[in-house]
Amino acid sequence: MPMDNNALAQTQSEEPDSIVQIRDLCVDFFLPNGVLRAVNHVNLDLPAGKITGLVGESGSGKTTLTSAVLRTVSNPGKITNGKILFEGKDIVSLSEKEVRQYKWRDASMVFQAAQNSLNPSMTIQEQFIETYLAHKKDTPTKEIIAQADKLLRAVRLDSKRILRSYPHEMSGGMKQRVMIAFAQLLEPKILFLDEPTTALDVITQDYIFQILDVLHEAKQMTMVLSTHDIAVVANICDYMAVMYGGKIMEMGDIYEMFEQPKHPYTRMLIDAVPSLIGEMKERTAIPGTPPDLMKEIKGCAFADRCPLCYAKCRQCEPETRTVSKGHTVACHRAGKEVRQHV
Amino acid sequence: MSDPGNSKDPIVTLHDLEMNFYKSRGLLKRPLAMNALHHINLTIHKGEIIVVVGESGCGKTTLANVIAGLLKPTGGTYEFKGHEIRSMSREQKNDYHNSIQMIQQDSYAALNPMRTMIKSLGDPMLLKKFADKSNLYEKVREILGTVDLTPADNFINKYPHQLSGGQRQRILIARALSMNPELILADEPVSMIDVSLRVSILNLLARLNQERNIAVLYITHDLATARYVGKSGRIVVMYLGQVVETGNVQGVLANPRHPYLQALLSAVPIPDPSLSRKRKKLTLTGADLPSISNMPSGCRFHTRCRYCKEICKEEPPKPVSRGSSMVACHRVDELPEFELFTGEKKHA
Repeated sequence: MPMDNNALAQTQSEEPDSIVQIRDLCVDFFLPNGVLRAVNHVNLDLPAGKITGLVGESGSGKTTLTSAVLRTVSNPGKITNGKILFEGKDIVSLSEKEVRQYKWRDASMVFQAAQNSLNPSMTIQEQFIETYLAHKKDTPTKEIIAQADKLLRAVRLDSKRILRSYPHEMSGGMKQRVMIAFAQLLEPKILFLDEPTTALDVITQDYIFQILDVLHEAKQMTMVLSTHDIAVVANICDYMAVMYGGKIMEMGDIYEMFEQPKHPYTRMLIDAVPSLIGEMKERTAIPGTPPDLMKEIKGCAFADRCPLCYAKCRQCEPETRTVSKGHTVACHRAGKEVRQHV
Repeated sequence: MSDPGNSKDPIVTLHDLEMNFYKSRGLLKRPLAMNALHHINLTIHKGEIIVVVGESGCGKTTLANVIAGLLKPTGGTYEFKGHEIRSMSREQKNDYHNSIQMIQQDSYAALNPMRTMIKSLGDPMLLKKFADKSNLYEKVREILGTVDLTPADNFINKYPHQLSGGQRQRILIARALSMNPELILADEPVSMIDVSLRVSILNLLARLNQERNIAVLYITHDLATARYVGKSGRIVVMYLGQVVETGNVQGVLANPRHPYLQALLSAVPIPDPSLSRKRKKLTLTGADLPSISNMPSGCRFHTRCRYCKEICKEEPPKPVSRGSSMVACHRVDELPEFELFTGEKKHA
């Protein structure tokens, strides 16, 4: 397929700069019965101007990782180790005041439950104005409304009607689109999308991704999409990072990850998804359950569920190594054939 | 509509079924009728798999609730094993309630948080005399075994919050199985579980269908899982309370005729980056479903259809037979052939 090779060659020739560098990050939750480490010594670079998919089961730490980058980890959670560099500036050491300026202006987020992200007692217009004024005082209202109007139209909403509406007057898909417009109000450099379409229908989901794709093309905004649906990632992302048990297992170019997944977990994830096309073959689920993050994990976090696990996997933790340009994996047995064992 | 394989025993027969909900508009106005199901004709035979697909708000769940007897249809006939629901004897009614079991979408909400699994699973069996006190534990263990919750003793005394989502979903399947059903209504059983565990639940449903000859009505908005579960079964595509296309799963998905199904198909994400980017974008003229309190005239889909013509706005289309499927569209013969990908043909 000529298209793939082109795309592959392109990404390999020009290594994109990263806008966010996460170094040795740990996020702990201090619970009554112990400490839960939701993000465990994570190193991750988010390429600038690209869409990165963050994939993992529920409880793998996707949401905690993104909220750490946005500095929204709340009690009883705490960032206990590491650095997050946003354009060279360490986010972890920012003061509360600086964080307020950083949030929404540099980095914004669209949450899973858009229904709960909007204030039910204010119209959309009031919410737009309030947010804008909190960051840029003394902006004339007319200017803000003009900006809001432009953004709402970009997400294909009837902006006149929407601006006057309250959240309960809109459907789930409409609210989600309002949130996407909202997230761009201050023209952030990076946009985090946390399961943006999980509660929505396929048609609405497709519609939202079309909109995001257009926005991305137009502004070259960096986006990070966390989801457990690998098919969604295949559709729109440039890169994919696979998370498991609070760690990044594998990260690389989307085409390479799907064609030659090196980590057994990545391969099993891809094999577990039924597809609309291709032959009808039996799919296999990944046996077992995710690890208990309250306990200290010795060796590889995936060892208990891995068909390729051997003695070394239980003794020492695999180090992250580079298999090809921009493709990293943390596995002792990376690249070994998995299919025949499953 | 005629169904293939009429020789088999039908469990459920719906004929021109109507379901209206009424919304009060105050003392002086007549209540507003909202039509949730319109002219539904469906026969479910022993041991077959039927998948019902459509967006939320299209009436899939209402259909399941009517079949389960949770809602009384406001029009048409509903027969269970040849007996009209409204005029069944007590014995027949008992058989009806046991034979049709439901698996709910939200396993957390469907289980009583104060009751352990032996209570949740055992009490219905005691009540319906499928077990007595002496062999209750044995029976519950056996059922937990069939849904792969082994060793059963690890689960028998647990509360719902101590189980994972996938395990709770299996408990719901076990609870449905304990009544020895002939038909299981599975309403989006996997939409709340992780992708990595979904197929294990789907495989379990398929296994129960094959080994125990239990008919399954699988309701979903995800065509990829519908195709996976359905394989050899039938598909019913619904839009705003009506059936727009029906036929065998393979045939309908390989050659979709109704513009709505075509749009649905082109919206499903494909887990392959190079293929999914070659896909054709089929646009609807609107992303949002019209309100059911203000139903569009004529063909209910015309407000979002690219191929809409005058006749579509005025007259509701009648289902016609094309190939192995039944389609309700005025312009079914004039539509261009559907292709999922641009350029090269799909390798189905």
